[in-house]
Amino acid sequence: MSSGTLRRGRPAPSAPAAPERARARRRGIALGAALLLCVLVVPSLSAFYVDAAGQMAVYAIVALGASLIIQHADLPSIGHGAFYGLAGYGVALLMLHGVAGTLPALALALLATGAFAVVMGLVVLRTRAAYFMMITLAIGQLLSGIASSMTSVTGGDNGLTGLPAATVAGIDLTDPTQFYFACLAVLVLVAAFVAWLISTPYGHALRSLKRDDRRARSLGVGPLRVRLLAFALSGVITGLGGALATLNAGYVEPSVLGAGSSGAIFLMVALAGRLGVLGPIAGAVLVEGITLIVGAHTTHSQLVLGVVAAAIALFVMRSGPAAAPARRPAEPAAQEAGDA
Amino acid sequence: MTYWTTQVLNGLSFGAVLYLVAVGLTLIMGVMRVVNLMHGSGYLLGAYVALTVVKDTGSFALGIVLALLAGALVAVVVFALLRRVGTDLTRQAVLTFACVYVIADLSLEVFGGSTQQVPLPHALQGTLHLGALAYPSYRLLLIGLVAVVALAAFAIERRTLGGALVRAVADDREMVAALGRSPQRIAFGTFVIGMCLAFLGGVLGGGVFGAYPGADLQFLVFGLVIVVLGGMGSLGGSLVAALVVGLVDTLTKVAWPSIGDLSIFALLIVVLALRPNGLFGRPA
Repeated sequence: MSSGTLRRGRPAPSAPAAPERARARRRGIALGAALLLCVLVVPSLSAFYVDAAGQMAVYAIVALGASLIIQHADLPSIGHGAFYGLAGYGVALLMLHGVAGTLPALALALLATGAFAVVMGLVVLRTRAAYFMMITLAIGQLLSGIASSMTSVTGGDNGLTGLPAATVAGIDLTDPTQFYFACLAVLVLVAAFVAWLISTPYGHALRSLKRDDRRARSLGVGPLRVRLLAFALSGVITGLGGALATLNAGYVEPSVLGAGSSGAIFLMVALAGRLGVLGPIAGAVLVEGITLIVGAHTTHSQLVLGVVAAAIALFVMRSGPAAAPARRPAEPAAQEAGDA
Repeated sequence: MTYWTTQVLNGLSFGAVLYLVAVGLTLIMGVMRVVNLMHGSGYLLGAYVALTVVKDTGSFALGIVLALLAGALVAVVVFALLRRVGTDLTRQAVLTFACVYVIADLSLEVFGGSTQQVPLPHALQGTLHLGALAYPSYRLLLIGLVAVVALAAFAIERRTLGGALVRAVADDREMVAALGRSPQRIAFGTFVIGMCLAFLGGVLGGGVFGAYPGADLQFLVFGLVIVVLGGMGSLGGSLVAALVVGLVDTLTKVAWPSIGDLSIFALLIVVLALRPNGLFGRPA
């Protein structure tokens, strides 16, 4: 029995069946076409939409990073704004205090973000489910509160402004079109990395922890070590997005660390969780699309985003596999909900 | 000396308001196993409803009553929505966070972006002189009122059938159902009471700390910290944690204004490192 349940979590040892291969090819063609569209069509749009596309791309990177923990490790973090903001503040501080070159500043900021993620992971990964959600949410919001009061370091509520021009390998990140293409390239690399990572034995170990800690441990998977690596990678990728966005905007402010920012990142990952690696990208396009495009016409982008997210939670999202075994068919709660 | 006594009283009154927000949250999460991320929005709406009523009618009591009614109404709507998404944590979180967005957007539209306070009745606007100490009488009344609420909550939880049922649902839903009580109805009652307490926190706290865009997330996060520190579902834990958080936050911000939320952050990390289930929590 145990070997049967074990095999279910692993890739089939034989080559994929023919319909599987056909589906993979169709998906490849669709992806290639979509990417071609992104490369060819977007630059011909008006400046506003090029800028919006850049924001969507950078948030897709952020959401992909968060999806490693939220989607693939099934740990519902509402604190990824912390990584976004820490990397943003890191790169801004380094560049304002005379680190030569954007790339070294970016690398140092991401290193620091990764180190923070390891320390934060050691504390929060001892908890699960609702506790994990509450604690990550609290940590991000408290960091935002710290950033807005430590005026001498962080510039307080105004944040850090006046960053020097950011250029990486001749690409001017403050130029909307160049920023868009840079983010699109990074996004493709990050998506490929995440898809590869979750298909490796490590990725299977990570996903096996979703179902049953104890069973995974008996197979020699150290839960904390496996989750900690995912948490650190997740933090660094989300931080990469945050740093790129900061370099593009030329400033960073405390709100990016807080609950509002973290909640938006959580929505991006959660709304389209069933779409696999493409889910966070779709979520980022949806959330940023509503925020920017509705926000350009009315002051009620939050209202629209809230209504859309509620509708998706009510009518589109399905309850995850983690919740299924806990629910028994005879439970009155489930029956009453069905009757309603 | 009187300076620090004043600050301790300030911390206690902040802790008292935090308790009103957190006690509902800990019950909802402990009993219903629902992550209610719009609980802080209850504070915000409670304050806004009360300040509208008090400004229109001049009656603080009417403000409290109507805010509690509004709280019950919001609770009924959110509970009905939550029932549709079932036990899945992610869907609950998305749904309740969507409620945060909707309420924040509409509140900003109706009430604007500046900090507003619930006007206090004339009788409560003065200061009370206790020897060398002069302290706002409203804040003292606030501490006293919340002490009464906390005592009542303990008594109801420990001494009444309703309280026993709430504890029973937290421990074993199926057994409660087998005994012929509807866990769903008990969960509904808990949700309504919890949300009403958050609204009450908005009314009473709104007279001191005010209502402003962002207060929803701020009170949500302080509430979550208290639930984590006190242990999910623990009434006593939430009272102790609320007073500790109120005192620590107020006193450290007075002593070192630039550290902001650093002290609460450190408190959370240290307690979690030592006791992952909170001070009074049981292992999940």
